[in-house]
Amino acid sequence: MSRKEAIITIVTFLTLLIGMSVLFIILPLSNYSEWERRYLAEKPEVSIEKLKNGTLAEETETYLADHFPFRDMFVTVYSFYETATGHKEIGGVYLGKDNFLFTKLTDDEIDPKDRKASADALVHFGQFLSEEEIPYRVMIVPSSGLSLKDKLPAGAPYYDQDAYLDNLAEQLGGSFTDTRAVLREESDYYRTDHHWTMSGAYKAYEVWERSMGRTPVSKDRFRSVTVSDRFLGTLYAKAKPVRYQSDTVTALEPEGVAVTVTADGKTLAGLYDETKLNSRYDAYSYFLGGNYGELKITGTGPQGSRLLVIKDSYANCFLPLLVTEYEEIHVLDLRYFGRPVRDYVKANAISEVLVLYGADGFACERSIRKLER
Amino acid sequence: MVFSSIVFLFVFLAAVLVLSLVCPMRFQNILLLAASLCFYLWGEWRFAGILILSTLFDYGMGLLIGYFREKEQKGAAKAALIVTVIGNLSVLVVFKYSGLLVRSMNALGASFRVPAFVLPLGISFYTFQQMSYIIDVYRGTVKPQKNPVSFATYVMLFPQLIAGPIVRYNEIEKQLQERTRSLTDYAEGIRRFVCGLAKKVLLANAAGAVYETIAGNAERSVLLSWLGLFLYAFQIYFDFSGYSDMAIGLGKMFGFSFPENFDHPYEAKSATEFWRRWHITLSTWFREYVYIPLGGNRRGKVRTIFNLLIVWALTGFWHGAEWNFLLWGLYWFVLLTIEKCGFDKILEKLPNVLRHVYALLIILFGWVLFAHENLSAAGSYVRSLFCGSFYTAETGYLFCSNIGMIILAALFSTSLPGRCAAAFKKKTKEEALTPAVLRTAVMALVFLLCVACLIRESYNPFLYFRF
Repeated sequence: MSRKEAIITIVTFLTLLIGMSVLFIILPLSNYSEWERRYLAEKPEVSIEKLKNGTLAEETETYLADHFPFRDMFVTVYSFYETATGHKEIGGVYLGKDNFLFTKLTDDEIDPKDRKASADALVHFGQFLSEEEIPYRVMIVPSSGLSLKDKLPAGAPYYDQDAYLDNLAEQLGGSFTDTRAVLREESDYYRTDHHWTMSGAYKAYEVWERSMGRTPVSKDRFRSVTVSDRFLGTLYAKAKPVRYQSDTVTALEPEGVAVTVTADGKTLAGLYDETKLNSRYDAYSYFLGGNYGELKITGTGPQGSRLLVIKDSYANCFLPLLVTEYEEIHVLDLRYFGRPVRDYVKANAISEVLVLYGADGFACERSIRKLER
Repeated sequence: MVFSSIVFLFVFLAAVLVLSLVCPMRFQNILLLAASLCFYLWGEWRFAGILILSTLFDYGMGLLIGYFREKEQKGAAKAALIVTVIGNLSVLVVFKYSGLLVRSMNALGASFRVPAFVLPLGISFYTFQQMSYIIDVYRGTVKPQKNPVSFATYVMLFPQLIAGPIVRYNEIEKQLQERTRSLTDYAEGIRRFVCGLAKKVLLANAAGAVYETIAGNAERSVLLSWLGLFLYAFQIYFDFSGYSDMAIGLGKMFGFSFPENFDHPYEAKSATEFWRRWHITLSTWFREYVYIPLGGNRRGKVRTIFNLLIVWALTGFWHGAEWNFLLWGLYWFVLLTIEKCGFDKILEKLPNVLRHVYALLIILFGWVLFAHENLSAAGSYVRSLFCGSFYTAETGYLFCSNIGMIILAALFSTSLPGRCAAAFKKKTKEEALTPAVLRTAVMALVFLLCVACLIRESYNPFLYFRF
């Protein structure tokens, strides 16, 4: 190596190494990453105990990685490298056809014990409700990984969601409301987010209404509003893929209906939270503004019609469709709600129950067994 | 602390390099020793005491053996040597092998409490380094090191402290006293380090992750099992040789010249050649301090084979405290003995392609033994290489999804990229600026890619997404 080349090499390397360290110290640190919608790691507290057991080393590494100068750029560079070397999955997300992203979930990740416990909890809860003569429906909505499975990368390992839902349907019998036949189109799911779209939710709403022997409220009765045309959701945040297509978020909003919404004791502005539209990464939170342990919507339905919905975030865009049909809609998210649900049913004179989850989330969710209490 | 981490690169290394640039030569050893202690404490606080005590012990015993030699008290020198070797080996036995010993005795009917020792970082490397020193002092091939800082620097030098290469004392005795740092050495050290970092971060880690997926799949197809085996071979080679490259590179940056440890082992055409190319410093160590003292090949054929048996049983066990490693050592003993007894003559007559295929197959089957702690798991892996469905959709997916990494790994397992770079260098003028800038740019990009990978690895999406 010539002297000249040696000098170029040394200067380049030391500039990169020391330059980054200096930038880390002088650049202002932010504590929130908007595109990932998460708080970044906090500065680790130093203690001999943590040094001994190795957690200090781990926390320091995470802290440095989270606040590294130009971190977003580095994450993109990495995605670019992964894509260029043929990778069809990044950060637990499959990069599917037509820019569809999918949550990677395989059969190994679903514990058969959890699977049984969840199904049992739903069955037992149904028995309790039938004794109380309260109608009961369970709607576990297929995720895009099943409905649009042709768009998964060829041969990609994916859990047998069909079998999973068949099994639930068999155990729950008539209470299981199957939406697999209607959720088949691209427009039913987001490309960059793990949720369903308003279009998907409305189709499921129709199926559910018919299963209850009612006529669904016609689509024309709602105002269709496009609230964002540049939405980048959770799957985007996990993968930060090189190629992506942002989503359009549409809402079917009940017109001229006066509702009051209270969440965990506080009164909300309404069914929608427009402040969430300030960030293109947060547009799905427009529906109800996020998740709460206990939410109550007072609608315009007949007196005594009180629906209890036990749900995850899939229900957030679904619930506004129901406000003209019930006097009260009680919404519990068992991840954040700890009191016995059976007592809640009695105390609030519930007249009807709906369990509504996305299949992926339900398969990994353990809190549903709280229904046993 | 591992080299492939942001803390190491941007906090530790950045600081040590700056300090080393401003620190006068006579304080360099103190600086390196202090840095090495910090390095060890950060990763292995609990066992730092063992490293320090063991260093002090060998330092003292080295002086003592030297003293007896000077006074020509051969018996005393020999006794001191034996005490030291036993002392070093007992540390190794207690911390590395006691769990295995007790479990094995329990399996035979005893019922002792299994000791809960965790292997202290780097113990296999630093005890071997110290033993090389002690034995050489006894033999009189090196003088005892009087300066405790120099001796401790030799033992604890952070580049080779935790994963080799195993540097024998006589190889860097002079450099501990006096070394020069030329600009070209420094620059070559940087390149070597980045090269090793890339091997570890971009190839070994990636290959390892896919291998884990494949090994965890009980219903893998025949092709997938083969893919898994190749990926494991890539993982272990790039991990280990990547670490050696980083160590050698760092050594150069501080003015040391460490011995080479790998020479494209998967290009070997026989078992014998493989072991001349794989973990060279370990093989050299066993040759110098076990095989030759036992008489090597000078005491007849039977004794030679016996000596080989000892060496390979120990080599196997050195790699890990489980019986499968012993078995893996014996596997190589058998193959090497067969080659020594005349099979090598037959091999030489075969076309090169066949010799490569033969060597690759025995290496790969060796890795099956190496990878599985219990024999039935190894057996079922071998079975999956031949029985069951030939191909599944997942096979195609995993192959295509990792095609880039597989090609890079295969390419960099050979000497081809190195020869291309050399040819490119030959074609251009020594003083030409463009190729120099080009090479540096490639290095910088590879380094940034490694950093990107490290940042991404520690980025674990939060529960928040499960909403």
